[in-house]
Amino acid sequence: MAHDSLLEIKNLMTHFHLHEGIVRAVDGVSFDVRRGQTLGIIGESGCGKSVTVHSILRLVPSPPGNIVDGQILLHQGENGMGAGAIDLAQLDPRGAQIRAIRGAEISMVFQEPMTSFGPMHTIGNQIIETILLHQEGVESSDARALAIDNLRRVGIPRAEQIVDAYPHQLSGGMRQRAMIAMALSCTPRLLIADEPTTALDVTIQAQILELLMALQEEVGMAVIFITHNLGVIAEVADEVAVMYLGRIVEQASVNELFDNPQHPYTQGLLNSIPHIDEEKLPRLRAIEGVVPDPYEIPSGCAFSDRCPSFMPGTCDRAMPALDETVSGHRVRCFLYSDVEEGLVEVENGG
Amino acid sequence: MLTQYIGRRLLLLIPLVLIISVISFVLIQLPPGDILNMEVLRLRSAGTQVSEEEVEALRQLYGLDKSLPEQYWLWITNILFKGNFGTSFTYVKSVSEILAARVPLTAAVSVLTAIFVWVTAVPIGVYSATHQYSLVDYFWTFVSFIGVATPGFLLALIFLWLAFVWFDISAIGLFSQQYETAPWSWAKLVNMLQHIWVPIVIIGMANTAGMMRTMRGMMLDELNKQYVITARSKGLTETRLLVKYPVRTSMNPVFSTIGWMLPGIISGEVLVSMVLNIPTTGPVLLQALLNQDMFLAGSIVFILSVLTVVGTLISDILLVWLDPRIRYESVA
Ligand SMILES: Nc1ncnc2c1ncn2[C@@H]1O[C@H](COP(=O)(O)OP(=O)(O)OP(=O)(O)O)[C@@H](O)[C@H]1O
Ligand code: SF4
Ligand SMILES: [Mg+2]
Repeated sequence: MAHDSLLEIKNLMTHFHLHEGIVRAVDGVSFDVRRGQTLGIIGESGCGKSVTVHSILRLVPSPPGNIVDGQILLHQGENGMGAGAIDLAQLDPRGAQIRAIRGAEISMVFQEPMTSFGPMHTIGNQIIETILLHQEGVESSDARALAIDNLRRVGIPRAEQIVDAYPHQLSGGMRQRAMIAMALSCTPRLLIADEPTTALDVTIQAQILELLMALQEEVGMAVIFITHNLGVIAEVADEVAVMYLGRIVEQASVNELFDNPQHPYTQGLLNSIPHIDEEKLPRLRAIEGVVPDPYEIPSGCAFSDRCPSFMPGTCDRAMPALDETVSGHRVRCFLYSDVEEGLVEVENGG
Repeated sequence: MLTQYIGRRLLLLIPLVLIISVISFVLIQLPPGDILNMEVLRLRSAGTQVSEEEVEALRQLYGLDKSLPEQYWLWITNILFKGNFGTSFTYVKSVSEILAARVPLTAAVSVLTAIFVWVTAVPIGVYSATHQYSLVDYFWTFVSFIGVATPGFLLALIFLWLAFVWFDISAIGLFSQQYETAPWSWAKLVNMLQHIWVPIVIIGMANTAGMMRTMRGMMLDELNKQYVITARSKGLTETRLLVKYPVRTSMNPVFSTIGWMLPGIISGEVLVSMVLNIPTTGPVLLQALLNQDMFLAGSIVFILSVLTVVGTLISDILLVWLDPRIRYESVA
C-alpha cells in the first residue's frame, strides 16, 4: 500500500439487519485516503456513501447496522506502515478509543446545516465543548477565544458576537461555516464532508467549497468529500470513487475519471451533466431506470438491469470484480475485465 | 424582552380570572333548585314546620332573591375586595375558614405529584427510547398502559386493601392519629410527609404513565436528528450527549404539559382523596356539589381554576426562558 496512506479501508461490509431482510448498504468497499488529499465519493441516493463514512467513525446505529467484515485502518505515524495503525472496525463504538478519535483525528461535516447543531445551545457552547473535550490543558476562557478564532477563520463576520448566537439565528451558509469551524477546531487529520453543500444555494455552495479547499491547504488535512454533484467533485477531488448499490464500481484520479470514464454507470452520470457549450440545445440525459430495491438486487452485475451495454450470459451470470484496467484506474465491469468477484456474490444471486 | 412577555401574560391573567369566575358561578347555578329548597325538603321530611315567611327570610339573607347578575356581582366583589368567599350552608361556617387548611394541602399534593411524575417519567421515558424494543422498554410500555387505563380511585382501593392485608396497617389519611387535630409543628410536617407519598403515587400514576409515553416518543424523534449524530461525532460520551442534547430538547414539550397536567391531577385528586380520606379540597368539593352548597362549591372551583391558570403561566414562562428558539422568535 502507498506509503502516504492515512486511512485504508479494506473490504468493508456494513449491513442492516431489518425485519424485511438484510440491507447490504456497504458490501465490500475498499479505498485509500492519502494524507492531505481529497477523495471524492459520488453515486445516486441510497448507494451507501453515508453508511460508508459513518462506519469509519463507528456512527452506524446498532442495531440494526453492523460492520460484518473488513478493516478500517487509521495510520498513526508519518510512514503509515503496519505497526502504527488502528483498525477502527474492531473498536467498541462507545469506547474511549473511538471517542478520542472522533472530533480530534477525524471529524465530520454533515449535509443539513439546519439541524446539525443542537437547537438549545449557542454555537460557541458547542464548539467550546469540542475543544475542551480533546485539547488537554485548555481553560474555558481560552477555549472561548479559540472558538472565536475558528469562527473567524471560516470567514464569519463579527465572530465575537456570533459565538453567542443560537443556531436558528444564523443563515444556512453561516451555519455550515460554523459547522466547519467546529469540525476543524481540533485540527483533524481527516475531514469527512458528507454532502456539505447540497442544501445550500449555488453561490453559497461555491463559497463553502472554496473555503474548504483553502482550509485544507492551510491545515494539510485529508478530506473525504461526498456529493451527488459531479461539477463539485471535479473541482475538489484528487481521487474519485463511484459507488453503486454498496460497492465501488469505478475509481480513478479525477482527471482520468473525467477524461476516460469506463463503467457504463459512470458514463451515464457524466452524460447526465448538461453541456452548455455543445452546439445543440443543452439536454440532461438521465440514466435509464431506477436504483433497484435493496432486497431485489439483480443477480450478476448489480447494474445489469439499467446498463445500456448489458451482455446476456455474461453480466447476469456473475458479479464483475473491481479490476485495475489502466494504472491507477479500477473498474467493475465485464467490458474491461473478465475477473469475477469472489464467492460472496453467489449467495447474493439468490 | 422576557420581562415584557411576562408582563403581557400577567395582564392577560386579569380577564382570564374574571371569565373563570363567571363560568364557576354559572356552573354551580346550573342544576335546578337551590340549597334552600333542599334544606326545606329535608326539614319538612323530618317533620319540622317551616313557614313560607321563614324560607323567604333565609332567601334574603343569602341574597338568593336577587337576580343572577346581582348575585354574581356580590359574590365576586366580596371575594376580590374583602377576601370573603361567602358562607357555606351545610357547614354553617365561612368558606374561607373551611378552605384555609385544605387549599394549601391540595396545592402541596398537586405540586408534589407533578414533581413525582417528572422525576419518574422522564428517566424512564429516556431509558425506553434509548433502549427501544428492549425488554425493559416493553415492561414500561406494559406498565404505562395499565397505569393509563386504571382509574386512580381503584388503585387507591387496591392499595388500601394490600396495605391492610400485608402489613396490617391502615393507609388512610394524611396524618397519624395523634397529629390529626394537633396544630402545625415540625413533627406534624414530618408525619405528613411520611403519609403523603401514598396519594402522590396513586394520583401521579396515570400522569406518569402518559408522560412516560410522551417523553419516549419525543426522545425517539430527537434521537434520529442530525444534531445528535453531530454530538456523537465530536467524541462525547453517550450519557453526556444524551443529557445535553436530545433530553434537553425533549423536555420542552414536557414542561408545557404542566398546563394540562394540573387540572388532571386536581380532578384525579378528588376521588383518590375521598377513598384515602385526605383533608384536601377534593372531598369537600364533591360534597358541596351534591348539596348544592353554592358558595362553597363555587369558591373551590374558582380557586382551583385560578391556581391551574397560574401554574400554566409559570410553566409557559419557564418554557420561554428555557427554549432559545421561542425566546427569540415568538416573543420578540
Ligand atoms: N439506520 C438505517 N436503518 C436501515 N437502513 C439504513 C439505515 N441507514 C441507511 N440505511 C440503508 O442503507 C442504504 C444506504 O444508505 P446511505 O444513507 O448510505 O445512502 P447515501 O448514498 O448516503 O444516499 P444519499 O445520497 O441519499 O445520502 C440505503 O438503502 C438505506 O436505506
Ligand atoms: S458488467 Fe455488464 S451489466 Fe455490468 S456494467 Fe458492465 S456491461 Fe453493464
Ligand atoms: Mg447520505
